[in-house]
Amino acid sequence: MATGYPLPDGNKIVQILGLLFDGLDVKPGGTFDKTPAGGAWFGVFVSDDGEPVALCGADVTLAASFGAAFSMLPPGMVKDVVKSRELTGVMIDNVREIMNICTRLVMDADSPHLKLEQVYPVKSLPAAAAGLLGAAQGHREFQIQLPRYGGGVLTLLTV
Amino acid sequence: MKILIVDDSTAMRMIVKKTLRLAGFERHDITEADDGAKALATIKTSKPDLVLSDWNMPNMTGLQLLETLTSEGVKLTFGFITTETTPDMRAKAFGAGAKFLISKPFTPESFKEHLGPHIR
Repeated sequence: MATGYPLPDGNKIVQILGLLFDGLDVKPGGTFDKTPAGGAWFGVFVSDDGEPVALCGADVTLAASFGAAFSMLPPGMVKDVVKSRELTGVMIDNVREIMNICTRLVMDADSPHLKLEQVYPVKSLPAAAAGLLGAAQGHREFQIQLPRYGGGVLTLLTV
Repeated sequence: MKILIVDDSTAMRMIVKKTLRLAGFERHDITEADDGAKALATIKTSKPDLVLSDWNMPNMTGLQLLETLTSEGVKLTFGFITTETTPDMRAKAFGAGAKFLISKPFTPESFKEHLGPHIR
Protein backbone atom coordinates (compact mmCIF):
# COMPACT_ATOMS: atom_id res chain seq x y z
CA MET A 1 0.00 0.00 0.00
CA ALA A 2 1.28 3.45 -0.88
CA THR A 3 2.11 5.62 2.11
CA GLY A 4 3.46 9.06 2.81
CA TYR A 5 0.76 11.46 1.65
CA PRO A 6 1.22 14.76 3.52
CA LEU A 7 -1.69 16.65 5.07
CA PRO A 8 -1.67 20.38 4.33
CA ASP A 9 -1.79 23.34 6.66
CA GLY A 10 -4.01 26.34 6.10
CA ASN A 11 -1.30 28.25 4.27
CA LYS A 12 -0.99 25.54 1.63
CA ILE A 13 -4.74 25.59 1.09
CA VAL A 14 -4.70 29.36 0.61
CA GLN A 15 -1.68 29.04 -1.67
CA ILE A 16 -3.37 26.48 -3.94
CA LEU A 17 -7.12 27.16 -3.78
CA GLY A 18 -6.46 30.90 -3.50
CA LEU A 19 -5.37 30.68 -7.13
CA LEU A 20 -8.98 29.79 -7.96
CA PHE A 21 -10.80 32.00 -5.47
CA ASP A 22 -9.69 35.53 -4.61
CA GLY A 23 -10.10 36.42 -0.95
CA LEU A 24 -10.31 32.81 0.24
CA ASP A 25 -10.32 32.59 4.04
CA VAL A 26 -9.08 29.40 5.72
CA LYS A 27 -9.09 28.53 9.41
CA PRO A 28 -7.99 25.20 10.86
CA GLY A 29 -10.58 22.99 12.57
CA GLY A 30 -14.29 22.50 12.19
CA THR A 31 -16.72 19.63 12.49
CA PHE A 32 -17.34 17.70 9.29
CA ASP A 33 -20.70 16.03 8.79
CA LYS A 34 -19.98 12.79 6.93
CA THR A 35 -23.36 11.19 7.59
CA PRO A 36 -25.26 10.04 4.47
CA ALA A 37 -27.97 12.63 5.13
CA GLY A 38 -25.43 15.41 5.47
CA GLY A 39 -25.02 15.86 1.73
CA ALA A 40 -21.22 16.18 1.66
CA TRP A 41 -19.26 15.53 -1.53
CA PHE A 42 -15.96 13.66 -1.69
CA GLY A 43 -13.13 13.52 -4.17
CA VAL A 44 -11.63 10.03 -4.16
CA PHE A 45 -7.88 10.12 -4.78
CA VAL A 46 -6.25 6.93 -5.99
CA SER A 47 -2.69 5.74 -6.32
CA ASP A 48 -1.27 4.69 -9.68
CA ASP A 49 -2.56 1.14 -9.06
CA GLY A 50 -6.09 2.46 -8.57
CA GLU A 51 -6.28 2.02 -4.81
CA PRO A 52 -8.03 4.79 -2.83
CA VAL A 53 -5.34 6.48 -0.76
CA ALA A 54 -6.94 9.77 0.21
CA LEU A 55 -10.28 11.56 0.32
CA CYS A 56 -11.07 15.24 0.14
CA GLY A 57 -14.52 16.13 1.40
CA ALA A 58 -16.53 19.33 1.18
CA ASP A 59 -19.60 19.52 3.38
CA VAL A 60 -22.79 20.46 1.55
CA THR A 61 -22.46 24.20 2.18
CA LEU A 62 -18.86 24.27 0.99
CA ALA A 63 -19.59 22.04 -2.01
CA ALA A 64 -22.44 24.35 -3.01
CA SER A 65 -20.27 27.43 -2.45
CA PHE A 66 -17.40 25.94 -4.49
CA GLY A 67 -19.79 24.83 -7.21
CA ALA A 68 -21.46 28.22 -7.49
CA ALA A 69 -18.40 30.45 -7.08
CA PHE A 70 -16.28 28.64 -9.67
CA SER A 71 -18.75 29.58 -12.44
CA MET A 72 -19.84 32.79 -10.72
CA LEU A 73 -23.42 31.52 -10.44
CA PRO A 74 -25.81 33.68 -8.40
CA PRO A 75 -24.80 33.38 -4.73
CA GLY A 76 -28.44 32.81 -3.81
CA MET A 77 -28.25 29.37 -5.43
CA VAL A 78 -26.10 28.16 -2.55
CA LYS A 79 -28.97 28.41 -0.05
CA ASP A 80 -31.35 26.52 -2.35
CA VAL A 81 -28.83 23.73 -2.84
CA VAL A 82 -28.06 23.45 0.87
CA LYS A 83 -31.78 23.16 1.55
CA SER A 84 -32.37 20.47 -1.08
CA ARG A 85 -29.02 18.69 -0.53
CA GLU A 86 -28.84 18.33 -4.35
CA LEU A 87 -26.07 20.04 -6.32
CA THR A 88 -26.84 21.06 -9.90
CA GLY A 89 -24.96 19.42 -12.77
CA VAL A 90 -22.80 22.50 -13.28
CA MET A 91 -21.96 22.58 -9.59
CA ILE A 92 -20.94 18.91 -9.65
CA ASP A 93 -18.70 19.55 -12.68
CA ASN A 94 -17.15 22.46 -10.80
CA VAL A 95 -16.63 20.42 -7.62
CA ARG A 96 -14.86 17.83 -9.81
CA GLU A 97 -12.57 20.53 -11.21
CA ILE A 98 -11.77 21.80 -7.72
CA MET A 99 -11.20 18.32 -6.29
CA ASN A 100 -8.78 17.67 -9.15
CA ILE A 101 -6.79 20.66 -7.95
CA CYS A 102 -7.13 19.47 -4.33
CA THR A 103 -4.98 16.44 -5.20
CA ARG A 104 -2.10 18.90 -4.84
CA LEU A 105 -3.01 19.41 -1.19
CA VAL A 106 -1.90 15.87 -0.33
CA MET A 107 1.15 15.67 -2.58
CA ASP A 108 4.63 17.08 -2.31
CA ALA A 109 7.93 16.49 -4.07
CA ASP A 110 8.58 13.32 -2.04
CA SER A 111 5.13 11.75 -1.88
CA PRO A 112 3.82 9.04 -4.17
CA HIS A 113 1.69 10.15 -7.13
CA LEU A 114 -2.08 10.14 -6.80
CA LYS A 115 -4.92 11.34 -8.98
CA LEU A 116 -8.61 12.13 -8.74
CA GLU A 117 -10.67 9.06 -9.57
CA GLN A 118 -14.09 10.75 -9.30
CA VAL A 119 -16.30 12.83 -7.06
CA TYR A 120 -19.23 11.28 -5.19
CA PRO A 121 -21.92 12.38 -2.77
CA VAL A 122 -21.11 10.77 0.57
CA LYS A 123 -24.13 8.45 0.33
CA SER A 124 -22.80 6.99 -2.96
CA LEU A 125 -19.13 6.53 -2.09
CA PRO A 126 -17.76 3.24 -3.45
CA ALA A 127 -17.12 0.67 -0.71
CA ALA A 128 -13.32 0.95 -0.81
CA ALA A 129 -13.46 4.72 -0.46
CA ALA A 130 -16.20 4.59 2.18
CA GLY A 131 -13.97 2.26 4.17
CA LEU A 132 -11.33 4.97 4.25
CA LEU A 133 -13.82 7.34 5.90
CA GLY A 134 -13.60 5.45 9.15
CA ALA A 135 -10.12 4.04 8.84
CA ALA A 136 -8.01 6.98 7.73
CA GLN A 137 -4.63 7.20 9.41
CA GLY A 138 -4.59 10.96 9.16
CA HIS A 139 -7.22 13.66 8.80
CA ARG A 140 -7.40 17.41 9.00
CA GLU A 141 -10.34 19.81 8.83
CA PHE A 142 -10.53 23.44 7.74
CA GLN A 143 -13.23 26.09 7.76
CA ILE A 144 -13.24 27.77 4.37
CA GLN A 145 -15.06 30.93 3.37
CA LEU A 146 -15.42 32.38 -0.13
CA PRO A 147 -16.32 36.06 -0.51
CA ARG A 148 -20.02 36.52 -1.44
CA TYR A 149 -20.74 32.76 -1.47
CA GLY A 150 -20.13 31.61 2.11
CA GLY A 151 -18.44 28.33 2.78
CA GLY A 152 -18.17 25.35 5.06
CA VAL A 153 -15.82 22.64 6.20
CA LEU A 154 -13.22 20.83 4.13
CA THR A 155 -11.78 17.54 5.33
CA LEU A 156 -8.74 15.67 4.06
CA LEU A 157 -8.19 12.02 4.95
CA THR A 158 -5.21 9.87 4.05
CA VAL A 159 -4.24 6.24 4.47
CA MET B 1 3.91 37.90 -27.03
CA LYS B 2 1.06 35.40 -27.56
CA ILE B 3 0.83 32.51 -25.08
CA LEU B 4 -1.55 29.55 -25.47
CA ILE B 5 -2.46 27.45 -22.41
CA VAL B 6 -3.68 23.93 -23.25
CA ASP B 7 -5.28 21.83 -20.52
CA ASP B 8 -8.57 19.93 -20.28
CA SER B 9 -9.07 21.22 -16.72
CA THR B 10 -10.70 24.64 -16.52
CA ALA B 11 -9.36 25.03 -12.98
CA MET B 12 -5.81 24.21 -14.05
CA ARG B 13 -5.97 26.72 -16.92
CA MET B 14 -7.10 29.35 -14.39
CA ILE B 15 -4.20 28.45 -12.12
CA VAL B 16 -1.63 28.53 -14.92
CA LYS B 17 -2.96 31.93 -16.03
CA LYS B 18 -2.82 33.32 -12.50
CA THR B 19 0.65 31.88 -11.90
CA LEU B 20 1.85 33.56 -15.10
CA ARG B 21 0.63 36.85 -13.64
CA LEU B 22 2.28 36.17 -10.27
CA ALA B 23 5.52 35.33 -12.08
CA GLY B 24 5.46 38.75 -13.74
CA PHE B 25 4.26 37.67 -17.18
CA GLU B 26 0.95 39.50 -16.95
CA ARG B 27 1.37 41.82 -19.95
CA HIS B 28 1.15 39.07 -22.56
CA ASP B 29 -1.78 37.99 -24.73
CA ILE B 30 -3.02 34.73 -23.18
CA THR B 31 -5.50 32.36 -24.85
CA GLU B 32 -6.71 28.88 -23.89
CA ALA B 33 -7.67 25.54 -25.42
CA ASP B 34 -9.12 22.53 -23.61
CA ASP B 35 -7.55 19.73 -25.65
CA GLY B 36 -4.80 19.11 -28.17
CA ALA B 37 -7.06 19.10 -31.22
CA LYS B 38 -8.57 22.49 -30.35
CA ALA B 39 -5.10 23.79 -29.59
CA LEU B 40 -3.90 22.72 -33.04
CA ALA B 41 -6.73 24.65 -34.67
CA THR B 42 -6.05 27.70 -32.48
CA ILE B 43 -2.34 27.61 -33.26
CA LYS B 44 -3.03 27.67 -36.99
CA THR B 45 -5.28 30.71 -36.74
CA SER B 46 -3.78 32.80 -33.94
CA LYS B 47 -0.11 31.75 -34.26
CA PRO B 48 1.03 31.90 -30.61
CA ASP B 49 4.71 32.33 -29.78
CA LEU B 50 4.62 30.01 -26.76
CA VAL B 51 2.47 26.96 -25.93
CA LEU B 52 2.13 25.65 -22.35
CA SER B 53 0.52 22.24 -22.62
CA ASP B 54 -0.69 19.49 -20.32
CA TRP B 55 0.46 15.96 -21.19
CA ASN B 56 -2.70 13.86 -20.85
CA MET B 57 -5.76 15.23 -22.62
CA PRO B 58 -8.70 13.82 -24.58
CA ASN B 59 -8.78 13.88 -28.41
CA MET B 60 -5.09 14.71 -28.81
CA THR B 61 -2.45 14.47 -26.10
CA GLY B 62 0.13 17.15 -25.54
CA LEU B 63 2.83 14.96 -27.04
CA GLN B 64 0.72 14.24 -30.14
CA LEU B 65 0.11 17.98 -30.48
CA LEU B 66 3.83 18.72 -30.35
CA GLU B 67 4.66 15.93 -32.81
CA THR B 68 2.00 17.22 -35.21
CA LEU B 69 3.33 20.78 -35.00
CA THR B 70 6.88 19.56 -35.61
CA SER B 71 5.86 17.41 -38.59
CA GLU B 72 3.99 20.37 -40.10
CA GLY B 73 6.97 22.66 -39.63
CA VAL B 74 5.20 25.06 -37.25
CA LYS B 75 7.74 27.24 -35.47
CA LEU B 76 6.97 28.13 -31.87
CA THR B 77 8.24 27.48 -28.35
CA PHE B 78 6.51 24.50 -26.75
CA GLY B 79 6.70 23.33 -23.13
CA PHE B 80 4.81 20.91 -20.93
CA ILE B 81 3.18 21.50 -17.54
CA THR B 82 2.33 18.11 -16.17
CA THR B 83 1.90 16.07 -12.99
CA GLU B 84 3.83 13.01 -14.04
CA THR B 85 7.43 13.57 -15.07
CA THR B 86 9.08 10.18 -15.51
CA PRO B 87 12.48 9.92 -17.23
CA ASP B 88 10.72 8.26 -20.18
CA MET B 89 8.29 11.16 -20.51
CA ARG B 90 11.08 13.69 -20.29
CA ALA B 91 12.99 11.86 -23.03
CA LYS B 92 9.91 11.78 -25.28
CA ALA B 93 9.12 15.44 -24.59
CA PHE B 94 12.59 16.75 -25.33
CA GLY B 95 13.02 14.32 -28.23
CA ALA B 96 9.89 15.77 -29.81
CA GLY B 97 11.20 19.31 -29.44
CA ALA B 98 9.86 20.56 -26.10
CA LYS B 99 11.95 23.35 -24.60
CA PHE B 100 11.01 22.71 -20.97
CA LEU B 101 8.89 20.53 -18.74
CA ILE B 102 7.41 22.02 -15.58
CA SER B 103 6.08 19.59 -13.02
CA LYS B 104 2.98 20.18 -10.94
CA PRO B 105 2.71 21.49 -8.31
CA PHE B 106 4.49 24.53 -9.70
CA THR B 107 5.17 27.97 -8.26
CA PRO B 108 5.64 31.46 -9.70
CA GLU B 109 9.35 30.90 -9.08
CA SER B 110 9.45 27.72 -11.17
CA PHE B 111 7.57 29.56 -13.92
CA LYS B 112 10.16 32.35 -13.84
CA GLU B 113 12.99 29.83 -14.01
CA HIS B 114 11.59 27.80 -16.92
CA LEU B 115 9.73 30.47 -18.88
CA GLY B 116 12.02 33.45 -18.32
CA PRO B 117 14.43 32.48 -21.12
CA HIS B 118 11.53 32.09 -23.58
CA ILE B 119 9.30 35.08 -22.80
CA ARG B 120 10.30 38.43 -24.19
